[in-house]
Amino acid sequence: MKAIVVDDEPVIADTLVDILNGEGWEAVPVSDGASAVKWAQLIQPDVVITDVIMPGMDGIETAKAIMEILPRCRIILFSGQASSVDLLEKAHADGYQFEVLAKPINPTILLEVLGPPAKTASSKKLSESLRTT
Amino acid sequence: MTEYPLGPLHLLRRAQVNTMNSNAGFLREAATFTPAIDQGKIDSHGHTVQFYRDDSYLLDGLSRFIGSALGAGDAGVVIATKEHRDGLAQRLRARGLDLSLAAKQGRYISLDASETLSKFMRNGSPDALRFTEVIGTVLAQARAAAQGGQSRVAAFGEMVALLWAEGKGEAALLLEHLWNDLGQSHSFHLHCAYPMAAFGEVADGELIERVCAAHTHVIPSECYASLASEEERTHSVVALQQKAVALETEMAARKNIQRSLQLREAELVDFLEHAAIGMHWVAGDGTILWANKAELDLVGYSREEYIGHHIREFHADHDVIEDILRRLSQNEELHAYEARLRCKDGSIRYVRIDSNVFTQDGKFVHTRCFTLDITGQQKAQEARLKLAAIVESSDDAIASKNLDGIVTSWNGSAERMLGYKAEEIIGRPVTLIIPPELQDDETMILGKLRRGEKIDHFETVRMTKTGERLNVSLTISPLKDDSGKVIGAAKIMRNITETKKIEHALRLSEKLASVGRLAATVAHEINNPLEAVTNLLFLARRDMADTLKAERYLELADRELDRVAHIARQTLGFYRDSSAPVAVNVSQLMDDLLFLYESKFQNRGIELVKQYESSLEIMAVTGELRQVFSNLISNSIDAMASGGSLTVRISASHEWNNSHLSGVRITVADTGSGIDPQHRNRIFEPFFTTKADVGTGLGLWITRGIVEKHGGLIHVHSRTEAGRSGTAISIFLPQTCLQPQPEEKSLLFARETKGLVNTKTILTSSGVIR
Repeated sequence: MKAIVVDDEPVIADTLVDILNGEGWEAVPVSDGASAVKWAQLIQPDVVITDVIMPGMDGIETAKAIMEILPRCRIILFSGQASSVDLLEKAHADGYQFEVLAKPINPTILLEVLGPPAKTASSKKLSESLRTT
Repeated sequence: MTEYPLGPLHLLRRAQVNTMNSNAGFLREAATFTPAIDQGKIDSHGHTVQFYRDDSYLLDGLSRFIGSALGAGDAGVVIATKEHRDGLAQRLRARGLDLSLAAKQGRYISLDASETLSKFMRNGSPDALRFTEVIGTVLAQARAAAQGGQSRVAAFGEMVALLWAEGKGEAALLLEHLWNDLGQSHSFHLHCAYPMAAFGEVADGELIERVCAAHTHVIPSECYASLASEEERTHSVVALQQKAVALETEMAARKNIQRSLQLREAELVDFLEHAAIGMHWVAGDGTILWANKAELDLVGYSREEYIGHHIREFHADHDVIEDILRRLSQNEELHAYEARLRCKDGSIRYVRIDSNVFTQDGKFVHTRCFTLDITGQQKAQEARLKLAAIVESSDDAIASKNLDGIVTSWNGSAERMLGYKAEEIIGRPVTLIIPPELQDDETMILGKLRRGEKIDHFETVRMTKTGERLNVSLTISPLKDDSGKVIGAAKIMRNITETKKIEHALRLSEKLASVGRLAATVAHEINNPLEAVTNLLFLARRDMADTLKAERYLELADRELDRVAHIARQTLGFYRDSSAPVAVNVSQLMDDLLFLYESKFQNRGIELVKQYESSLEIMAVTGELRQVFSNLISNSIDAMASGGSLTVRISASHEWNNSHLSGVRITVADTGSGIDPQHRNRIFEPFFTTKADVGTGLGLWITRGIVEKHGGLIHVHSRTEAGRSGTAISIFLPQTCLQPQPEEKSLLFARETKGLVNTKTILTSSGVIR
């Protein structure tokens, strides 16, 4: 299972990717929304975990864009700020349902929410996806 | 009535001197009548001219003349006016003469002078032939009828006098000569008479000579007739001469007086006609009798269009003119009576009328009216009243004062706003409404006014009658007299208490919002490191076996916790800030804030450059200063969405205009897109923002408010040219009490912060090292 972790704080993105990879995920750290969309197109992730408040495209816009191209991709929003509430309400009003987690979150809980990465034979392996570019 | 003899002049002139007639009786009669040389003798030929003043004198004399002829049986011919003929007839009858008998006998012929005259007058002159025909016939008849011894005819004719009265002097003289010519062929004694009054002109002197010359005898008028002796006559001649001289002198004097009177009159007429004020006379019935030039010019009518017309035609208000006429007819004097006149061109002129009445023997002759044009003043007055009305009805409180600060006017809105009625405050000092602690305001205001300066939107506090304090905005303008000298001030006061309350609320809400934003930033700054630490600990435990990895993870976690601790220490203690000014270390405050924004700088790719000159302290309200710095930093971050460089400079400085105020200058400069020139004037406006949905638009407005409250100044420099764009905001804050320590003015390193933030440190001295 492939995942993209989007956060403008490198420490957070890197450590999360490290944790996920340790659990059998194939995770990639990205630091902004636009790049996240490109990566999504490229590697077709199953899950995208993204910070909400970021410079440039915020998390919600990133999520919407990715949903356009990967309607069945699971998107989890990750927020450390109270103002994300407004953004989420707006998204909800537009008909989007996103999962939200608040920072700081214990990685154990995050892993529980994600569930173990399913071994699907149909999905391409990350390295394969990367190789084809 | 004294009588005087003939003058010597006449003696010389005598053309024919006739000898005396023996008819003593006749002569005696004549002697009493005709004095001097003619004593006794009037013979069959003679032409006497008599001058008379009084008709009865003439008629008395005539009655003797004609009467004696008739009495002697001779003929008498009378060609005279009806009055004279009747008067003569009356006297003759009184003498006992039977006129009707004499008339029957043809001895008494009485003819009308003008009738007879018309019989021989041709073209205003006596025709010789016809005269001879007419008169000759009459005389011949009379002669024939005369039964006296010598068939004398006594004739009296005053046709000449009639001609003379008609102004036909030459014709009269001609007629006299015709009589004389007739005397050649006919025998009669003619007596003519002229009223002396007919010769009233000085010029008649020559003519009277000619008249006398045409006669054989001259009888002067009444005064001379009765004088008998030579002595008496010469005395009276001298008297006459003196009289003549006296009269001539008097006449000359009179002429002089007349001349000077004429001059005087001319002067007076000129004065009235050309006076600079309108004057006119109006008769009792309202007709204009006379008007001078100024009056006609005032109403624009010509003389003919004005004089002779009724005065009410020219007044705009009929009731006014009727009142004026009524009062004048009651002999009232009018002073400064205001009226409106309608001019020929239809325009209205305001006038003030002064008038009284000229009476004679208690009768109204005409008015003496003076008309003063006050249109100009009236219009000025109306304009003043209009302005006064505008002031009074204005919703703004408007008042005025003189240069001593004494209130001179106070409108209704001022009464309502401050609780003092106009009567209560006019004449009293304006300091009544100034709160005690602001009394110096007035001195400052008066000083500016005296220099002719205007005070615009000066926000201050004023006190009502009940002691309530109001926030007001004052606009005070100097009042100048005609020569431009400042004589007082007009002030408009606007109650901005409500506005101030709203502003206060806005500031509060922005403060809260700012705190909220700060809190959000703080939350972010805490949550992220905590998240990082959580992950790092997880990883450390997972990879505990790999000591190097574990160590690395724990080290990172340590650093993150440091940051959190720092933030918690510094920023979460905000609630301890007092609202009173305290000594604030500016650099320290700035650093604390910059620390908060560190991660943001990093994520946005913003390079931070700090240039702190020294450890400077100023008296300030900590929370407010923090709000200001925070506002500037976040504005700069927002401007550099795709990265850039943020420079923060802190240095000791002096107020830009007033070099005796020392303090601190703080500059926050970014390399963002700059402020659009068209927006530059508006950036301090409340609610003005170019950020789509992030800002409230209140940040800079409040920032400026706080800076000014601390007695400081704020400046903005900005460029929008690509490649060189950016904005630098400079704030000066006065030090007030504390001085920086001398040794600390030397070089100082900016603190290098721990963590993952790139910070360039600048050493400042006279040069800059990068």
